[in-house]
Amino acid sequence: MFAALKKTFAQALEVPEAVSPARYRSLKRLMTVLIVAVSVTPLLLLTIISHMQYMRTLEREMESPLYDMARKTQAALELYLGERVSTVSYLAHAYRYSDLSDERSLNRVFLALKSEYQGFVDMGLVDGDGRQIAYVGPYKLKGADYAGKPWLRETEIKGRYISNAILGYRGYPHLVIAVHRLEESGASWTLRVGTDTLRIQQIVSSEGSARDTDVFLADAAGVLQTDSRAYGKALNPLPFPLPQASHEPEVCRMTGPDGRSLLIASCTLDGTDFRLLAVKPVEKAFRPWLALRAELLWVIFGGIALIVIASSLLMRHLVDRLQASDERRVAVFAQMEHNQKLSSIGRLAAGVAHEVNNPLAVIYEKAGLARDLIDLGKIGGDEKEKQRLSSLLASIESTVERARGITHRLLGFARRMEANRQGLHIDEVIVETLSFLEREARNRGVALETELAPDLPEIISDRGQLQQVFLNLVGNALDAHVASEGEDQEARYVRVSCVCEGDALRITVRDNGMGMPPEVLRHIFEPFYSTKNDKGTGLGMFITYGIVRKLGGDISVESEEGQGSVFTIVLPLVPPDAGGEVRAQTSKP
Amino acid sequence: MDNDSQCMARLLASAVHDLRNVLAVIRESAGLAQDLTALAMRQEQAAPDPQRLAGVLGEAQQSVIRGAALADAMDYVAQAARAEDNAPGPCDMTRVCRFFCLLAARQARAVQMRLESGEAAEPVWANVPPLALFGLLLDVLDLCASVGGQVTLRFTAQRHHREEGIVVDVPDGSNRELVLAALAGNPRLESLRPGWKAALMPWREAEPRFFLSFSSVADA
Amino acid sequence: MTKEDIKILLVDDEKQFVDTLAERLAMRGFEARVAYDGPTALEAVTQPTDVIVLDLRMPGMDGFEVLRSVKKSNPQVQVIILTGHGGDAEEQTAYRMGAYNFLRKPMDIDELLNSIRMAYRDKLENAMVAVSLAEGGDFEAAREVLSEKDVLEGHDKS
Repeated sequence: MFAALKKTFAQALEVPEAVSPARYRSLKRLMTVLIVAVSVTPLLLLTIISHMQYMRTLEREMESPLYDMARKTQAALELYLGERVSTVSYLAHAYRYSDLSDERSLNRVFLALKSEYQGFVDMGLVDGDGRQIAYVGPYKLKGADYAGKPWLRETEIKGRYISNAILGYRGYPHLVIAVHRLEESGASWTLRVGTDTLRIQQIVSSEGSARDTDVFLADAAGVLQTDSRAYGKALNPLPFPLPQASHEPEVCRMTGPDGRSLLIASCTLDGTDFRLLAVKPVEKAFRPWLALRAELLWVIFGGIALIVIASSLLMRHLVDRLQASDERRVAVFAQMEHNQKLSSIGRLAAGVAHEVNNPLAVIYEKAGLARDLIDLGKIGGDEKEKQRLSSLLASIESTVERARGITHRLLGFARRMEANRQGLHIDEVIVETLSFLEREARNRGVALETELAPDLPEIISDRGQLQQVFLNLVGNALDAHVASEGEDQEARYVRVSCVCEGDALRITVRDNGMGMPPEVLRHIFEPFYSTKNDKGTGLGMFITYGIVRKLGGDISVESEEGQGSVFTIVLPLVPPDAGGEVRAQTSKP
Repeated sequence: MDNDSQCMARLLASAVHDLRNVLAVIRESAGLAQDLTALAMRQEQAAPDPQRLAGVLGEAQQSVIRGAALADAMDYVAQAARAEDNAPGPCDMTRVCRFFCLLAARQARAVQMRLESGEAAEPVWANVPPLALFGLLLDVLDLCASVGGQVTLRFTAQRHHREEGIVVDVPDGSNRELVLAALAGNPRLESLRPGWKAALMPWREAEPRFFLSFSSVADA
Repeated sequence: MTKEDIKILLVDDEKQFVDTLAERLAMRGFEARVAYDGPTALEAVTQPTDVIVLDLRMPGMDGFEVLRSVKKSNPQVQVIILTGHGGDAEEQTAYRMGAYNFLRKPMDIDELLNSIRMAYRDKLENAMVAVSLAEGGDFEAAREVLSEKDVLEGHDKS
């Protein structure tokens, strides 16, 4: 699996070497992806890290004020409750049982209490058996029996007691504060005072509203003791579980009943069963950040989009330039090669022209000398003279040979280079060309076949160029047969056929190789188009096309992938621009 | 650029063939002289016929001169081709015409044409690459050949109204009418490379003739 | 046959050519020595020489070098270039270097002889002018004429 992954990766990264459109497409792709990746990755990383850091800081920032608020409220409430309890405790110590058991005294005390302190609701004296023997207040509680009640027991144990909220007169919640006294005389009695929760509610509400926070009290069972803005009035249960209890305010995060994330600061109140809660929905806390985040996200994505667009445009431009310059380079090389040919034949010609002058001069002088001898009459007299003349003439001949030799090289070259329009038998040319490729065909296991109609007429054309065309086509056809490892279903062949059609010859080169898809066929005669990744400049078919056109003919191709290809060339028997050389050269070597 | 190499190749090939012919002629001449001498020696006569011998040898010398002229022309073409890479300078058009007639003589002979080069009163210099000129002249030759040849074609370099060009006329030939018509019907010549244009314009005079002119155009 | 006074030196690496030419000149009464390369030619010049017929293309020391050398050491010797390859540029250079004439092969021998004779006469004339200048006391001028000083300067600059 790893190998497959590596392979796909390598394929994605591959850039063809040859100067072809494919090379530059994949180059563009690769470079754009690279640049975008390199630009965007640090950006994204930075964004992510900053985001995480910011969130963390923000949370801390959110928690802090909540914590402070809880603490402050806690202090205020404890102060208030402490004061309430102290007041009742003072009364319980300042007055004796006997004082308070008298209802008239109790009344007086209660009224005095009420005049000084807001909020006290009723007062009652409970004896050692738990019976409220004296009571002043709006409820009918005189004679109520609290024996065995847990609050009484707790009061007797702890000495003082604050109750949870209970529904009171006119629907307002109130608390009971009780203080127990054990006198020296052994009398055990409890002073029970009720107080409303207005002040508590005030404290709690004012704190909360300032900070957009829901601050309220609940008891250990989760029943609201004060009104909560979000979770209902006092004495309703809280819709969510209480966090851990601790006197030190603790901030935690919870999911509220409606699914929203809540930040809750909670602490206990000393001496009570109460829990102070300050609740702030996280959204509200993070609202400014969220607004900012949305904007940032737009900026980031906008930036990334910009990077991608700019990179791809830049890469396209650069690679196009690169492609243009590469193609120019290839063209220049082709031109240089051509120029080389031009200049080499030029050099050769110049060399021949220079060298041939020497023997020519010699011939001239020698002939002149012979003529001198004749003029002087020195040719007939004796043997020696005749010999002299004879050898002179012989040396002229050998000099001529020397001159001929000098011209030989140039002759060969010029003949090759010349657009040598001659009458030729195309079947000979085809057979000759195929003979060059025989060995290669054998190595590839491809059969070279010919189907040449009998009595093909002579065609006036250029032997060298025809050879080039056939070499190119048959060579490509051979390449279409990939060396396969398996067995052949059908014998592999390349078949060249030729028939005469009116005043033209139709030559086809057919193979049963790989074939070509329509996409390739569309571009096959374009320069620099090559399906062979490593070899070839992509100029072969282009040049072939040009030659065929110059010879006055036409070339076309049909192909089917997996089936094979057929190239068809139509050449006129007499090219349209037959020049002066038409009948000059007969194919004498 | 391919036209240049084709043109050069054609001219050089033609010239080389002719050069070899020249050498063959020399060989024949020398051979004949040899034979004459040998004959005389065998027959133990006084001397081979001096006049005949001298004549034969003189012919050989003439051939040498022709061969040297061919070699000169070939060298010129070769130099022109080399000079393409560097800055092509102006060329002596009379010389070009003369060399062309020498070099292409064989091609002309193939279609029973003769090439003549006319002498100009003064040298005519033009700022055209010589190879381009050779190509043009070849085109004219091909044109005449394509309608059957069989004429004498004469090229004379001339300056006419401050324009340099080559006067093309057909002094004689059995196919004269057709050739003149062909020349008249083909004012634009193909082979000139980009940046140059050439025109073969009929010249109104007593004898029909044409003025081959060329000019450089700024590249489109 | 009258023997001619002109002393000719033929310089060419093409032995067959130069030997044949020498023979033909001898048949016409000229004393023609041959040298097949530059150094030999320079040595031969130390002997009395009137006219050198010099080829340009030679291996080793080429014609121009020989021409320059000769004009430095023996400025009165006339040099006629006889070459198979020679463009206008070579011709100009040769003249600037002090050649008397620039001829191309193959050259008709009578024309060559004409050129040689004219070169010789030119040499004699120079000598006579120098003598008359010297007789008049203007040795400077005489020396100039003999050494073709301005010609030397011309090709030294080139």
